[in-house]
Amino acid sequence: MRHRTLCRSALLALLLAPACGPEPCPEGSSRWADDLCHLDETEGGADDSGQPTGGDDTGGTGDTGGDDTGAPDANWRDVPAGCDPGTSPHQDPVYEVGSYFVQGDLFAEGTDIELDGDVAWTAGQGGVWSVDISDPEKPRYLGKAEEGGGRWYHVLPGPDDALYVTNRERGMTVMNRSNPASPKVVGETASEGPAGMTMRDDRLYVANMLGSLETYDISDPLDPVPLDELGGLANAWAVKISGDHAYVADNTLGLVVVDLGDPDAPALVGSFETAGGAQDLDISADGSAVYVATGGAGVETFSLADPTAPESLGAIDVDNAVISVAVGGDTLWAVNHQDVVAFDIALPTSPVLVNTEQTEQFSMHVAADAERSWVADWGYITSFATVEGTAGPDASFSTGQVFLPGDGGSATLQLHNLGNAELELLGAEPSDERLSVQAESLTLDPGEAGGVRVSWDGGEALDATLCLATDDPDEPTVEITISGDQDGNPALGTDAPDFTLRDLEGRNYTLSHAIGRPVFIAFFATW
Amino acid sequence: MEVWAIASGEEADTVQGYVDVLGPTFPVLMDTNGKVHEEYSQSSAFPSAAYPQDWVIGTDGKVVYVNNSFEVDAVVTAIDNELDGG
Repeated sequence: MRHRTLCRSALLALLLAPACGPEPCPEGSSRWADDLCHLDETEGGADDSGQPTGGDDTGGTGDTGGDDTGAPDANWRDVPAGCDPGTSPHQDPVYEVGSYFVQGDLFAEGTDIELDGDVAWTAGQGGVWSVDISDPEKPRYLGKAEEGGGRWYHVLPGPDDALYVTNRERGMTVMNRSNPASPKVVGETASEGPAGMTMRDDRLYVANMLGSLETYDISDPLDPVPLDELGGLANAWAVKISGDHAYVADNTLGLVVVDLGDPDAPALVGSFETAGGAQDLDISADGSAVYVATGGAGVETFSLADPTAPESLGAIDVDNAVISVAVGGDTLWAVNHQDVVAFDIALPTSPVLVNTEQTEQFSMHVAADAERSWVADWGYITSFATVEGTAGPDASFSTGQVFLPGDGGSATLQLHNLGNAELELLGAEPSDERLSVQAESLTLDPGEAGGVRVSWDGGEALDATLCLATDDPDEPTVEITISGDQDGNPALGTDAPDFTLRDLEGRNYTLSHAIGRPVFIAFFATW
Repeated sequence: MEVWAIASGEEADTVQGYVDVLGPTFPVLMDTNGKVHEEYSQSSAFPSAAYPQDWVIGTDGKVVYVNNSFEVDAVVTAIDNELDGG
């Protein structure tokens, strides 16, 4: 049995998964998991541990076939027939308040969002745009900056009318947002690598991915003056302030503490390793805890009892790779490319998972106030809120598509309960009677995962669906596509189109030159 | 065997930044104008244009596996079949 990845932009995890074994992953390879993928530990069987079969040398091991070997039947039970969700006694503790489809108005893909009273500012592919969120149920497009465009990565509404926007290639752009429907560029500071920003008093601090923390004087908000650049960081993505310290999410170093005793010349205090590559962070309102988005390792909480020496209180795994977190009142919100996840932080140092809600597209960034969160969800901007005092299960399946060997066999998908109440698998109904469905367990505790195995004996090409019913109040039935023999795809068996492409170093790769060796080709996106 | 990642419709700078962070051990090929991606997409029956799009090309140059979602087991099985002379 192999590790199954749960993410969408997951190609590279293929190479990591077999090499990695149950976490912790070896240094170096873990970055793949941190940034792209969650490797599900629950599938780690004795048959694959310590088998370094990753990379481009999968040949020769002889035992890397499907996952139908070695699974003792004693652990599996039949899933009741049928796909009737019944009546769930639960209410979903996390619900969608309202949503706006950005791409109805402009071609844009949001990767950052910040709140500014009744306005939400979003930046991403396509520029910088604003949305009126005064009615959270009906967010309304205001307008975009005429200038700029391209890839804007982070946005921060500054004092007065200033709006700061960073772009990794171009530097920081200053805009005047007095008319939020039409922000105007008023200045630029050329620097490479600026990313997340925060400010206090008349100072703006910018995390720089090339390894520094930049300080600007913003006493004239529309004309920032560079004061200082603190080195010693490696790959700073985000920064937040609590008390006299700034906390930096550094994708290489972890959580970095910076002394702001002299606000014009910050000083490095130290760096503290995180469970995975740090991508974003936020701090509880009382300053007692900092929450770090650590990719595949989940959300890691650090105590700030000693503000100069954060102490890890552990990471909570929430499926997929957590890329952004935001504190709003007693709720901590996290996004992971596909879901928004809420934690109760009434006790800031002990976050408790409330529930998970799948988002429409690719949840990239989250901002929050005490009432609700707002998610930059690629083509959407969507708000979510929690219902207090409720508990519910949340079913998450590792895949929506299963391929079975043409001559019979089985495949296993993972069902993960991401909610805060017990989840029950109520029934399974395959559209093709040749399929049988079993599960490791028909009930899963909060946070628990279990396998759901689909088997057949082979035969005529299989093109079926499998309906699975749970007591998830949100999505009580899920349909999985099952194919056997892959006869449905017209590309199979045809000559692969030949091509020559250049890599980043300028070397040419031609498919036809690789005849005699199998080639695994993965088209991917960087987002 | 060969493992090639192909970045389609993206600028070298963006991909370079990604590669810098992740440090892959296999070639990342630039399909900046998206032509190769287009040709492959048209020859298959993907349910959506979304990534990832995974292909295994057999030793004889024919397509032996294609998928629009990420399935470790299926990819490994397809590659093994090829390495075993299938």
